[in-house]
Amino acid sequence: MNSRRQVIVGLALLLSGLVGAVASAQEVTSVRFYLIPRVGTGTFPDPFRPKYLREMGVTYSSMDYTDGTFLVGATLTDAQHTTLIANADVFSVPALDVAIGGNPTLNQVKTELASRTIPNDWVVATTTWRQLLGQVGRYAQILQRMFGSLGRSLFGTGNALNTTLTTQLRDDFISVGQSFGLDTGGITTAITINAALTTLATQMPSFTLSGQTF
Amino acid sequence: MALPASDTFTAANGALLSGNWSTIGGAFVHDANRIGGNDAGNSFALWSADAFNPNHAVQAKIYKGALWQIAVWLRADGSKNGYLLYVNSDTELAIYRVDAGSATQLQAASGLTVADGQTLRQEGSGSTLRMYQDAVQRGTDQTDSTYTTGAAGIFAIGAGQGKLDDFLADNLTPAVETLGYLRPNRLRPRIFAPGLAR
Repeated sequence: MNSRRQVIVGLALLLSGLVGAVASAQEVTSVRFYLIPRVGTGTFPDPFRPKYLREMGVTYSSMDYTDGTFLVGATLTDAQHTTLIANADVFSVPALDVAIGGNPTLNQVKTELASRTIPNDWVVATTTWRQLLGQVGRYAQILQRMFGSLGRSLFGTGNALNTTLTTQLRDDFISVGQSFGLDTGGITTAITINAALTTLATQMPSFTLSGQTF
Repeated sequence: MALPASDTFTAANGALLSGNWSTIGGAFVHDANRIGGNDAGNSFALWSADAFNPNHAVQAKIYKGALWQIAVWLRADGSKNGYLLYVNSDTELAIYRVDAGSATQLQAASGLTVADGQTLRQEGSGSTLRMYQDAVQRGTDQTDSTYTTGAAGIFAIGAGQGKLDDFLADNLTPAVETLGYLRPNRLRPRIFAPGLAR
């Protein structure tokens, strides 16, 4: 009887150990958001893509800002996240519904956006990270449409955020805005690319990225 | 012709893809009632017998060669623009945007089991793209606003690699466009002809 009990206890302990091993093997993942630079040459073996993620073999979704940056939502373990953000060119976003807050974080955010040719003059301490990424995604959609419908890369021809709209650029922004059904009344040759992007982006509807609504 | 567009690729072995299709680059060849690439480089072909609404879906069954290297092509045009649902590997599906044939990988869904005979399906509704493996959505809703119109098509890299069968494409109905949050399989009968559902 005692030997049978010992066998049962032994099996129970073994089973318990196996369950624990499986649990630790299936590491918990969560969706996290980043701004990541583009790499690749555009071929299928080496497509344009967010840097690092393909090599990590993870699930992700991204929005192409078209000027060398991707807004990314990736499903990562804590360890993968730590590895990714160890790269200086990866900008990681904390909890989405928390306000950015004051300096030094606010200045850091503005600097990160500016370095990626993303308008930053609208960002304030009370802006949440979700609002920040939402606006970046809407900027990206405008740039995507400009490329797709007009065949033009806004920043590929010497333009900068502070460039005043030429007649051609004004017409391009109006065309893109109308394609989204937006009010383009404020798009004139008296404003900059920065202002034109923000004028249109602030009217754009929400979108989803990696299951989150922005 | 009239939508839905469908092809079971039953032409003679060795016959090049023709008829309802326009091959944009490379070549496709029939092989044992399937279709595969027949060019050392990239092959693109779009269904040219019908016009598609901006919001449409494209699907096909997949069969592996030495490698996969195949895709269905959404909002395709003659300049090699649009969106591919591409088989990256035995464990990963991906959405690529193609810009004049140049590839940008927008999304990857890893940890899957990709096998012969599975149906891959891609839908585009407004700026939202979705990929499905045997009627189950993989990855998440993908937002991209670059291309708004085009046709359904197919894509392959190299010769003698992966093959496609049971190609099927159709417009998404208004119900799907406005009620896109519904589970796709509930809408299946409204999208495709009976007998050709996923």
